Amino acid sequence: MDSLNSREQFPSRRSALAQFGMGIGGLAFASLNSPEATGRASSPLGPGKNGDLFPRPPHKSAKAKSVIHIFLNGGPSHLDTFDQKPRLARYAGKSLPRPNLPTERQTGACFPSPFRFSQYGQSGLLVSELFQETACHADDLCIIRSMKTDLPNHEPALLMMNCGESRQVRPSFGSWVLYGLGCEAQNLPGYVALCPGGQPIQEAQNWTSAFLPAIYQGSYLDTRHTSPERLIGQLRPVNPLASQARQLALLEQLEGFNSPDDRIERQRLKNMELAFRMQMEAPEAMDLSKESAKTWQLYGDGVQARQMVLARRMVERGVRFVQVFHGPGQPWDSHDDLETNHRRLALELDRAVSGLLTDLKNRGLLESTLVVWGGEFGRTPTVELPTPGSNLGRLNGRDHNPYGFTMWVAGGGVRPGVVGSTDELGFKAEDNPVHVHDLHATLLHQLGFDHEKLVYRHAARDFRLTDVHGRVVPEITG
Amino acid sequence: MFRRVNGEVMLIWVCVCLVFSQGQSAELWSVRPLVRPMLRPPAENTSLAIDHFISQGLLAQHRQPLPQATPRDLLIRIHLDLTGLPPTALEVDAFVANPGTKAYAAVVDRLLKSRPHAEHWARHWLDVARYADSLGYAFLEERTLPFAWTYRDWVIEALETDMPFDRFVQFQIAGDQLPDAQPKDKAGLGFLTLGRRFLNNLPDILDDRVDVVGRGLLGLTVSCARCHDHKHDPITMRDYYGLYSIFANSAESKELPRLNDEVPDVAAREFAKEQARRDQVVAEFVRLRMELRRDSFRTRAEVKRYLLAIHADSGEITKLASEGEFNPFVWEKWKDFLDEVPVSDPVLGLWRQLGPIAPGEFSKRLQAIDSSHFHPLVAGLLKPPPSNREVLAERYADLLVQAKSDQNGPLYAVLFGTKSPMNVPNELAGKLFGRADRDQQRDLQRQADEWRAATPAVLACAMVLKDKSPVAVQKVMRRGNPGALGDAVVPRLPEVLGGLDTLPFIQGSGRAELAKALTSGKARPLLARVIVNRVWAWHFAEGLVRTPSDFGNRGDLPTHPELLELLAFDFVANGMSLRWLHKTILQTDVYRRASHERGSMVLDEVDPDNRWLARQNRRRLDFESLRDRLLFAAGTLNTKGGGPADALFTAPFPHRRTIYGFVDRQNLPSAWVALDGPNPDSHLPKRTTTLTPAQGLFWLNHPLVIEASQALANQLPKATEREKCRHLFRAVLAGDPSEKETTALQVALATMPEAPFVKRPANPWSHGMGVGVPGWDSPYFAPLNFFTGESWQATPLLPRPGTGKLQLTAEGGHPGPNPSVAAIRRFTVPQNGKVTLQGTVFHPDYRGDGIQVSIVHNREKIIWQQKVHNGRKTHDINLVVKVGDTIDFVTDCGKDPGNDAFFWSPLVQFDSLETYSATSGFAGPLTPPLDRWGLLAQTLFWTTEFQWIP
Repeated sequence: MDSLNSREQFPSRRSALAQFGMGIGGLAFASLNSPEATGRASSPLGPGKNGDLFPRPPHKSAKAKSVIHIFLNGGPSHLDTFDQKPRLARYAGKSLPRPNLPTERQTGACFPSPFRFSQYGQSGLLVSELFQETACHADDLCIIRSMKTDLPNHEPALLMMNCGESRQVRPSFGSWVLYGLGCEAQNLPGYVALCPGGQPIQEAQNWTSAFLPAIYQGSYLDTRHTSPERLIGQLRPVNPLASQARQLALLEQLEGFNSPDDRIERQRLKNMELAFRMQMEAPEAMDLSKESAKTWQLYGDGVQARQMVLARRMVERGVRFVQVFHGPGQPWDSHDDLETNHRRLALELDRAVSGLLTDLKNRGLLESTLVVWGGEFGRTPTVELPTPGSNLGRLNGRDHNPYGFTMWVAGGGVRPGVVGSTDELGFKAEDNPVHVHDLHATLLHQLGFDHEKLVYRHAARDFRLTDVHGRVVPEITG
Repeated sequence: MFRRVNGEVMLIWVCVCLVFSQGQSAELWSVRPLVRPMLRPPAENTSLAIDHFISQGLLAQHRQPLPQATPRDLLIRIHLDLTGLPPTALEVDAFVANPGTKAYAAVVDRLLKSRPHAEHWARHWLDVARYADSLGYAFLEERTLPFAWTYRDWVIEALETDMPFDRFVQFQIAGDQLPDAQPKDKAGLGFLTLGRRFLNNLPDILDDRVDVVGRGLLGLTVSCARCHDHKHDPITMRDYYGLYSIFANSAESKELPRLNDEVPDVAAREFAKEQARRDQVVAEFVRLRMELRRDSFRTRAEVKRYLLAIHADSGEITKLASEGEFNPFVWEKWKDFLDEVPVSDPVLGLWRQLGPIAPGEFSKRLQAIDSSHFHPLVAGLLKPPPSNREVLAERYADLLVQAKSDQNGPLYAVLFGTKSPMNVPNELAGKLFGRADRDQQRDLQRQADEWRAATPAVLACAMVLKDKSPVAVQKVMRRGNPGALGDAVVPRLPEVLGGLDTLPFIQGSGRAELAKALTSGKARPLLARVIVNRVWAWHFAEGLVRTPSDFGNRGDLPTHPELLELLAFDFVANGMSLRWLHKTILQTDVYRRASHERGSMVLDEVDPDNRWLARQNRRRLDFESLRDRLLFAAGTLNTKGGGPADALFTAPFPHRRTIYGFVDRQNLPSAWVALDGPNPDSHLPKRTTTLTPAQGLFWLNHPLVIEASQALANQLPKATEREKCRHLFRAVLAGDPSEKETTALQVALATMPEAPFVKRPANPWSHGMGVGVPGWDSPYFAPLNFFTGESWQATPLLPRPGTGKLQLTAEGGHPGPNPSVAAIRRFTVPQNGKVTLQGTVFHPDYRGDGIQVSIVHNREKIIWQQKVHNGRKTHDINLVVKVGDTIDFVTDCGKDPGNDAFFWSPLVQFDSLETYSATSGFAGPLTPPLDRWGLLAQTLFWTTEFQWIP
């Protein structure tokens, strides 16, 4: 796969340089990916435990090779989307038959979903009107209705979902994946976090590489911008490409005089060439203006559609991990006015997600791409009581719920269907609970990793994404 | 043991019987007493002894070392290694002409005493200390640590004066308490205090401090014992919490001591006065509002409501809450309060008994009440008998509220006493404040903190800790859970360092005793081994122990154990002088070896990691040195040291050394990340070096590189092309080019295209601020001078007094801190015609009072003005304009200065259809393409020779 990839790169690269007057003999043409260039196991960068981005095989055969994580940050309500609880109607406005579980704030009476549910697909999956377009993919979704996490606050729950640990700075899921698999994209970052107009809470800590080498960190792209130069720093050539090509030729000469065939010089030179090509190729990858009207019909319009199209284009070009946040802060956090807020947010997202699934499928990418959908936790079946200073006290929203919530996964070889369930009131995962650690273990499994063996030595111990937890959930892996 | 090699008697070592074990062991090799390895013939000279041990290792491997580096490489190496800056070409010339041992020693001596050396090596120590200028993630608090730089400057000064390492360590633990410390040594405490804040979760903050002492000073992963005894090293949870208790009893104080005893000038005194005023405003606001808030829960209606709520289920509570303001915190306080009351209580006993009774049962239960032991007034509530609990609650409420006038009466305590549910201290203002109060408090606090972030150097304070009094007893937290407390521990060193043999610390928190204990007894040899290994690693890229912060059973064993012992022993014997240590290492042969054979492609198959040091290691310059060397070569480096930090990547770029750059722990600049700058999350044992296209893009296009390249090109003397090529080469690479190199440069120059004349496409948009009177009918426009890559700003770092967070981005911005300092996006009309001004202002925040926006035409004055708060306002205005007119899109903060970020990207459309969008017209300062000489200079910056240490 790797060598194939490098051969495919060959002509475009040669022509790119030739176009600017570079003699074919002028540059070494081996790809950065080839074993010849990478050398032996020891790092070409000198002593120390340094990382690289060369693609590498996982522990075992993998079903998926890339991930798109659609993050509804703030916490979407499972009870209003994919986990209908008809029994709630019985207690509407009254106390639940058992005490409310403690959550971030006080909650009161039972609050049935204001949304209509219908059945979709051959399986007759129940989905609310909020995600009626996504629901058309009902038979491709693996719905996990028994997710749980540790803490009812955004910051720790967000970090748990992204980094497998609530407070300490630990490498993110995407960083582990990049560390494990390297990157196939030649001209794009291997791991990107998309969020329009700002960052989610906890900011860059959500995609940090922590103690892993910094190259495994996610690159944040503000998808409010549309021009590639604004998306990736220093991408716009200051000097004409023709000048740069001559500079590279001179660099090669100068390096050659000192050390005609030294590995460090050679690697560095190739890296400069790669950056040179990126100036031409990365804008192409991120230029959405060439997408057809059909594409926009499929995905809808607005920034969520743009994000999903960008995610697809990136995965198509070998980017390993794309995380798509809905918006800055915590947009899905509906402590008040849940009905209007969830309706507005879902309307922004539904078609874009549905379009993404259709598009990935049509292009044959869904098989190898894990699409993960969800928030950092769910919401309570009971109404949130007013907390002066914290909500508007309208008694029409839900508090955070770490005890039970829904996520779904599609593609990447997962088995469609429903996994687990919450109790009859939707408060707590009851049947086959899936902790975030378990989800991580399972997704790593689909990517070809034994989550207990994908480790990195730091501060005297082997760290891993799942810490000392995690089990692969067989109902998801199929 | 004598051995003859080539007829010479080699130094033969007598084995120091170190038993290295890999498994679990009760004792660690790294804490044994130091014994100087015996050498025969005895070698007093440490440098010779080092070389001896290195040779032994190579001999055992049957390896030949590389020869000495060339004089030029050597001089460049020691300059970059010791100071992070290169020598000048003239310095290289002089040394190459006279490269003897004496000259070498003289250069080393000179460099070791230089300020740049202290700056460069301070940066190494800042990695150990996880240095940053911000506290990491915080939701709404100001994140700047305004005085972090005082610690950075203290470290530099300590190294400049060659402070003995043990004192250096002591002052970083207790520079505020030790008798031999000077007042300025209080700044050393930054070592403990400038870590991340983990959303103010105290156990995490303290864990970070245990870790920086554990791994940073002792090379022990003590933090592993937070949740369970260490799995591999003899460190128990009791050891961990023994250290933890010392920091748990050392609180951060709001009153920080000033470091500078100079009398502040007028400006600084004014600044301090304003700071005091702002702090006072916050305190006063909280005090007054809290009095009102407490009283608001003492009314008849509220008391009745909460009395009823005590026994309500969640359905009833929801109903109660829908009827008016409801505070769950007060509700909880009432519930707890009543839980403590016995059924026989003369005041609340009656409610205790009747409160929970359902309506149907009420009358029956009422009859069964024996009211004889109740207070007469309470007993009076039953006359006439209340029909239900609502009536009773109402009567209770009346009674309790009236009790205010009788301070000595038994009823007073319920609503007004110290244990009353209403007696919420001011510190818990957040629990009682409504949204408006809370937001106002945060805004006021932010205004105080923003001001503090810009404190002038003369007023800077030390980030000290203060011992709690009385000292709290610390207990083990089982599984690290603060809610599951186990046995009490005493403050002490871990047992493996002799903690049990010595008395527990008894003075205050024990911090001063810890400082002494870390540098004496069983800890001292470990401390010495760890630091000499770090210094070795910073000189050779790898330590003798390759896990420099883990000297435990799972860490690497030393490659050269005797060498480590010798170096540590002699380091202690030489008063723990770091300068001695550097000098000793730099005098060795092994340090001076060539790092690679030029032109050799042969990989070192036997020892690819160079563990036996047949050669020096070739290393890439660290992030700081790359930037410093770039500025040095360009001739723009500003050597001014110390003081508050600069925003490194905000144009116009500051030119001071990188160590003086602002370290924003949460959002490191992209160039910082791309070039492997240090990660300040926690203690950093060693840097990583990567090679990525992002680095390539930095060297290709970053304005800093472009600026340096052109600056250097502009300084070339008038001379022949060949001479100029030579000059350029010498300036960048500190040496003469070969004939071939000069020719290559000259040929390349000839083929370089002339820089195209780039006239920036006429951009009618400009970005500024207006200082004037509210109303904005004639705003005065002053251009914003600082560009971060994302925004134009009034100051390089935000916020700053006077202009606050004033900035403009491609899509929006932030106004200044008062209504007369506005952000202005200006459109200068390029042609006559009719225009439509279209746009939508979006203010996303519900807090504060929003913003005021105006469109001001220089002739027509204000043509549109709106207030926008938590919503959108759209404009679509027709206007006739002439060339040179200005149309200002003005945003001011309204009355209230907080929460004013906005989006507003107007569009100007001419009737002739030309359209100008503010977003596409948003650009940073022009970075013009390089001229031919600039291109050559830039290419030389790309060479391995420039970016790597030979």
